[in-house]
Amino acid sequence: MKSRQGITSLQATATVVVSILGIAVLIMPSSASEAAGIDGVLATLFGGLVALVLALTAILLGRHYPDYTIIEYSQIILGRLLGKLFGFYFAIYAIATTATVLRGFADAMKVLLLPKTPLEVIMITMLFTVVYQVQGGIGTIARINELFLPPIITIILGLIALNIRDVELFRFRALLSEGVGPIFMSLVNISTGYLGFEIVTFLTPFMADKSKLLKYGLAGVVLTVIVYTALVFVVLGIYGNKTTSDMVYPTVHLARRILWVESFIERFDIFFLTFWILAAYTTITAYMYMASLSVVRLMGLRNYKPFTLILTPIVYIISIIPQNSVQFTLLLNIISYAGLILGFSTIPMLVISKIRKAGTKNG
Amino acid sequence: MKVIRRRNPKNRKTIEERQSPKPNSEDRVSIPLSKSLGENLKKLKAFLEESTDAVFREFKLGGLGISCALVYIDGLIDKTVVHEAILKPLMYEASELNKERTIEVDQDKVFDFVKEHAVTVADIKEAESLDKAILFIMSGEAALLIEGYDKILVISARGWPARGVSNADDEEVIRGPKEGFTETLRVNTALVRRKCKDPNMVIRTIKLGRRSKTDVAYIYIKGITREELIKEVEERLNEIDIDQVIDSGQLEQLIQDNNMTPFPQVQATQRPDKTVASLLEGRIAILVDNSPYALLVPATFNQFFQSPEDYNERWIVSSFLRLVRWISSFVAVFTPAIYIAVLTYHPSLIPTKLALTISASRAGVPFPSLIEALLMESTIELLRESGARLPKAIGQTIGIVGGLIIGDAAVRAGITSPITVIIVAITAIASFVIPTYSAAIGLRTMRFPLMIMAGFLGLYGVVIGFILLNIHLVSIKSFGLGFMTPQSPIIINDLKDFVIRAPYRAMKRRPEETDVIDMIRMDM
Repeated sequence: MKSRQGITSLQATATVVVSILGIAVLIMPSSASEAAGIDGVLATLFGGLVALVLALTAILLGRHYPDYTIIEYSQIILGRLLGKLFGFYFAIYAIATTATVLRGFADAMKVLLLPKTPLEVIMITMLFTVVYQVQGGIGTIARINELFLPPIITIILGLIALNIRDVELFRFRALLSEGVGPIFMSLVNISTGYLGFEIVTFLTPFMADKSKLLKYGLAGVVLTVIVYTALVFVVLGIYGNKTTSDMVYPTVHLARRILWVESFIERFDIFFLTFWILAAYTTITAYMYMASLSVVRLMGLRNYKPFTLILTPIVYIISIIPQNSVQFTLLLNIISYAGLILGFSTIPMLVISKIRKAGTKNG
Repeated sequence: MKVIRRRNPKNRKTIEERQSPKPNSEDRVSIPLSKSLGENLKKLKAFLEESTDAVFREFKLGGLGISCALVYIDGLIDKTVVHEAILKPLMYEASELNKERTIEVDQDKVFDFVKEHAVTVADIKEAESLDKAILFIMSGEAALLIEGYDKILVISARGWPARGVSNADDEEVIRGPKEGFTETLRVNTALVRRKCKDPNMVIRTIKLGRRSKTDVAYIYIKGITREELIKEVEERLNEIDIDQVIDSGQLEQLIQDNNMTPFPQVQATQRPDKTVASLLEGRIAILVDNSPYALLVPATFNQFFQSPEDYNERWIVSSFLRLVRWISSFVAVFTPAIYIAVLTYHPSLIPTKLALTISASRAGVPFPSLIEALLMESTIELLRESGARLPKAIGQTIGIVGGLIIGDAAVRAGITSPITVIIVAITAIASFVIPTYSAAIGLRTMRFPLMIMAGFLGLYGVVIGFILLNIHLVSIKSFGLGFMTPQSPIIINDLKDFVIRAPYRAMKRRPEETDVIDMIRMDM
């Protein structure tokens, strides 16, 4: 039973997958087609590879400091002041992302499922559930993720499988018609859809078998790359890039197309959305956990649980700031790029720590 | 195995504190015996004389004329044993032995003579102090006091009216042994022993309850069960300081990890076969005297969906039945909530024709569907509870009156719609499919908060309720073991005995969840 102390390898995979799969599940196809047109399929694939490389560097970096989270080892690598600044940046990012994902979730809920329910009610109930979960600690979060991974993956893959025969392959004849330019240009934009993999920078100290995070964590990223690419492929193959770009929640349209279940479930999209709530929930939880832990570790304290409660109103206030969808998209873009900067920052940090290690070995 | 402390470690007594005699328990004080029979008898009488069921029989040892006294509680001993195996040899046969001079007996050898030659009972003990002797007397042993000795001979002559071994009513199976535990501890341990003759099976007994002094036995198999688990069980049992241990149900709550949950973290069973199967899976069974239930620890959520029958039927059939149980547990908890959510918020989810039929049937109903469903669910709970406490014959009447007449009348009166009655009835039936009563009742109570959430937030509320329920379930521990194992954390080997009961040849290893020492169950 010793091997079951802390987070098991499968739980790490599950945590990575469900942290990435969140509101992006609903909007990924439209943002991909907006950025790269029909090449969005390839852009999603290569954007996923970028995320994979970033996750790889983050895990490799974490291996050097197996007992610390990124908040602590950034202070070792970058020095105290710069490290603290980095940690502060991370904390702000995590808090803002929690709020943004929460808002994005509530917006989608209101539009798609509960038109008459006030936004605030949806957000507060969700936030309460998340706080309750985060209070339980990383062990509970990992176990919940493990429980929810099968339904989340099943419903998305089921959605893809039920629609795949309607894909019109002629739409992909225009693939790469403009060369690799658009793909390359949209790569950064697309890879924001994979944000959530930052959770790996927090997992190492809690792993039961620290050496397994590399394999199992990356497996999680690979799984999401497959899911997203397939999803974008199906949506673009059915609707084409023009229509897809105009849709707010193309994945939900995909769910509405499903007809053969008509005799039992009239509207598959509602059914799909109920499962998607699980995906959004696990993402918000992951960010809330990162936010609480980074704030506490930044202060050098151990117990993050009271801070979750302090952060709750802050998250709520940030989440009600955007007045309309334009402002929300702006906020989403800001935090996405902030997240990417964080993702890329692990590369120089890895280089510095490698040089230092080499230096100490030689000297 | 990591053992999760369920209480604040500050409140826990250290081992030294626990081992030292407790100052508050007056009966732990040792009362020394004197060499005079009269004095010892006087002390004993001071304790017991007021009770009419205490018997003091004074007599002279045959042939030697030494004063003796036999003390026992009438009703707890077997009179034939006392007459034939204690009094008769001591008063009559001893003098015969003396006459023939086969054995030299003088004053300082009387005690050994009585013990070794006279009393023809197998189980004999000696008590050095009065309080120990009293404890034995109160447990149904006969105490023999002999003039000139400061020790008491305790002769086992237990025998009291007891219920015979009968069917395990709460866990009936169609195929499998029918016998169930009874109220007598010794009978229960015998039932367990009969199923497994392994000498490594250890039955240890401790007395719990400051006043009740209830015998509590815990059983494990050396070489299978982890040492840490045994220690943890011993520690938790020793920690109990209460005046009376009434039943295993009470003990269960005293040793469980988490009090703020409706779910049992210990499996209670009436069946010896289930108990032995659990022992072989590395669990520990706790038997309480006067209780026909064995407690099996640690328990997982999965276990509550297993029935001993699953192992006696072919695996395809058993797997199908298990699937039925899992689905019906979901139905029992979520159906009314989903019904309310769909009806109130998402009527478009169901086919138009069905939606029309439902709304037509609800045309005259004055309440919103939440109130309607809550009313009907409460009625069902009412019927179930009233039926459970009544004799069987009247219970059935209640079922018919409640189920058929009230249900029909409520629909005719326009208080509720027939669809709601169907939903409520299905939920009730589904909740009885779960083989473990205490788990089923815990799950059933979850219906009500879920219905309220569905009434306010629709399917979103149901999903939030689902998430909260799952958070709660994964955070429960049973003696350090996660409640949702093998689902979360996933243990591949143990998934073979989860929703699907794999064929025996595929389950060659014992479950890993209990972290057993000897993993190999089967070698063929």
